[in-house]
Amino acid sequence: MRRLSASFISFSLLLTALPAWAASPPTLSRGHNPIAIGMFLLFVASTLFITRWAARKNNSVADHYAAGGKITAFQNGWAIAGDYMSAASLLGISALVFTSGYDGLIYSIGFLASWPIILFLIAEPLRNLGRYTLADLVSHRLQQRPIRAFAASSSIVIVLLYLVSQMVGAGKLVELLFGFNYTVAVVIVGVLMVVYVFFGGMLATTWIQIIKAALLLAGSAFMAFMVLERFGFSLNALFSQAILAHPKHLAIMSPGGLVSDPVSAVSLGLALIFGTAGLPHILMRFFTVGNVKAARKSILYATGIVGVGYALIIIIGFGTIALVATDARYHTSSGAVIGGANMVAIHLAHAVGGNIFLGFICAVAFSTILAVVAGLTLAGSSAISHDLFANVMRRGTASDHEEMRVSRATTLVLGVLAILLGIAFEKQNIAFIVSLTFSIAASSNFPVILLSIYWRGLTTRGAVIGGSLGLATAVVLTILSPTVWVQVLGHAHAIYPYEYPALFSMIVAFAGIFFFSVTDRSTHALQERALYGNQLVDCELGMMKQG
Amino acid sequence: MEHTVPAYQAASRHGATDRPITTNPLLDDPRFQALVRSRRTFSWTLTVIMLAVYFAFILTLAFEPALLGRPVTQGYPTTWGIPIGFGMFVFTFALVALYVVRANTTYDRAVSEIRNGDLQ
Repeated sequence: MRRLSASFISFSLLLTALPAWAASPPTLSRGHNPIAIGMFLLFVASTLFITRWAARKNNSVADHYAAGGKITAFQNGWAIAGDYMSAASLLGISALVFTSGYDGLIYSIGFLASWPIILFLIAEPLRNLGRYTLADLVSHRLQQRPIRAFAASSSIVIVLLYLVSQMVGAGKLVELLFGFNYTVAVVIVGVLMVVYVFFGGMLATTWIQIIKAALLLAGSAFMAFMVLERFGFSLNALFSQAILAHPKHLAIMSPGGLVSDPVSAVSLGLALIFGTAGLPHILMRFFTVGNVKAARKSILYATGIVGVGYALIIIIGFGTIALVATDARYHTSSGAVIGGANMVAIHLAHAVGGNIFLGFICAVAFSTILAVVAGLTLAGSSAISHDLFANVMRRGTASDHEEMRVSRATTLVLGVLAILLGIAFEKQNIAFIVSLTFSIAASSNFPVILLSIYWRGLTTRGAVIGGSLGLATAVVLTILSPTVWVQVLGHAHAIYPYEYPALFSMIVAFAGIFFFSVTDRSTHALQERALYGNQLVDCELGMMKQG
Repeated sequence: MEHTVPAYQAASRHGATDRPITTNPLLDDPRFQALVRSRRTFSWTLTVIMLAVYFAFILTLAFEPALLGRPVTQGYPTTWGIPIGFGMFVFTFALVALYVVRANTTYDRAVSEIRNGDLQ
C-alpha cells in the first residue's frame, strides 16, 4: 500500500506542481532571486503587451471563445503543447526520474498516448459539429437544455478542480522560487489570469500558451544539450554516471514497480488516455483553427512537440541524478535536496547554466502555470456563458453582446473563486484532486462525447443519467480510496482498495448511458435517434446549408 | 467549411419536438456510405492498435518488469526499457502522422467531391 501511495503522489506531481513540499523548507536557500524575478517580470510585461494587442481584436463571442477561428495549425499545435506540458511536466517528471529512474518514462508515455485517440475519434467530429464548446457537439441532436446543462456542469466541476490544484501548486512554486508569500503568489496568479482572459480572450490565451511552450522547449533543449555535452554526447556515459550516483544503482535502469497492481495500472492508463479527451480546455482548442484539416494538423504538430519535450525531460531527469545528486551545493546539511525532489530540474539549471539560466527556468516554470490557468478560466467561463446562459436560460435568444458580458463577468467570478479556493486549500493534502479531475473527465464528458458521435441509439436521458452516474462514481470511489479515506480522512482501511477509479467509473458511465438510452421510449428519444443520420452527414462532411 | 448552421437544424435548436424529420438525401449516396465505412474502419483500427500497444507496455511493466531491465549490450548500462520507452514516443507520433497523411489526401478529396457534387 505504501508503494501504491508513493506512485499516486508521483502521478499528481506530473500533472501539476504539487505537494511533497509539505515537509521541506519554505524557500530555496537563495531566498529572493533577483534574476528570476527580473525574468518573471519581463514575461509578465510581454504577456500584458500581447493581451493589449489581442483585446483590440476581441470584439465578438467568436473572437472571445475561439480567436475568430484564425489560429493556424502550426500555432495551435504549439498552443496545445503549451496547454499540455505544465510546470509539472518539467519539474514532476524530472523529479520522478531523479527518485526512481526509469519509472519517469512510463508516465510521459501515457500522457502522449492520449493524443492519437483524440485525433482518431474526437477531434474532427468535434470541429465539424461544434462551434465553441463541447456541449455544442453533444447537443447537436439531443435536447438542448438538459444536455447542455449536464455538459456545462461536468465541465465546470473539472475546471474548478483543476484550477484548485494549479493555484495551490502555483502558490507553493512561487513561494519556493521567488520567495514571495503564498497568499501573495496566489493573488498574483489569479489577477493575471483574469486580465488575460477578460480582455484578451482566446487570442491572448493562445499566444501566451505558444510563448510558454516555446520557452519551455528551448529551456529543456538547452539543459539536455548541456547535460549530454558533459558526457561527450554518450547516453551510456550519462547512464553509467547516474547508476554510480544513485542509491538504487543499477535498478534505476529498469521499471521499479511504480505500476505494480494491474487494476490500478489499467485504471491510471484509462484516466490518462480518455481523461484528456474529456478536458474542456483541451477540446476548446480545436475551435480556434479555420477548418478540420487545420485541427488535424495541429495535433500532428502538438504530438511532435510534446514527444520531443518529454524525451528531453527524461534526459534532464537522468542528468539530475548524475549532476545534482552528488553536488553538496544543492543539499541541506542533513543531506536532503534543497526544496525537495521537485526542485532538482531547477538545481540542474543552475549546475549547467549558472544564475542567469536558473532565473530563466524559474520564470518558465511560473509562466507555464499562468498559461494553463488562463486556458482553464476561459473554458469554464464559456461553459457558463455560452451553454448555461445563452442556450439553457435564454434558449438561444441572447445577443452577442449579452453573452460576451456574461462571459466576462464569469471570468471575474472564477478568478475570485480560484484565489479563495487556492488560499483555503493551502494546507490541505490535495494530491487526489488531479487524478480525480482526469477520472471525472474520462467517466462523464468522454463517454457522452464518444457515444453522441458513434452511437445512433444515444438519447438525452441516457447521456444525462449515465454521464452523471459516471461522474458520481468517480467522486465516490476516490473518496473511498486509500488516498482520501486513509491519508486525508484518517481511517485505518480503505473501502475501495485501488488508487484510481477510472476502470470502474467508466464502466458505470457506459453501462448507464446504454441502459437509460435503450429503455428510453419517449417521443424525444425517437426523434433523437432519427436525427442521427443528419448528424452523420454534418459530422463527416462539415455543416452545409441545405437546399 | 464555415460554421453555418443548417436550416433544418436551426429551426429545431430550441423548438418543437413533433416536427417531421427530413433525412438528408446524402445518406443514400453510395459515395457517402463508402466514405463513412472506410473512414470509421480506419479510425477504429488505429485506435485499437494504439490502445493494444499502450496497454501491452503497461501490463508488461505490471507483470514482467524484468523483461525491460535486461541490458541491450552486455557491459553497457542501457537496458531494453530505454529504446522501447523512447520507441513508444516515436510509435505514437508515427500513428498520428499516418492518420493525418491519409485523411489529408484520401478522405479530404472524397469529402470535397461529395460536397461539390451535392451543391450542383
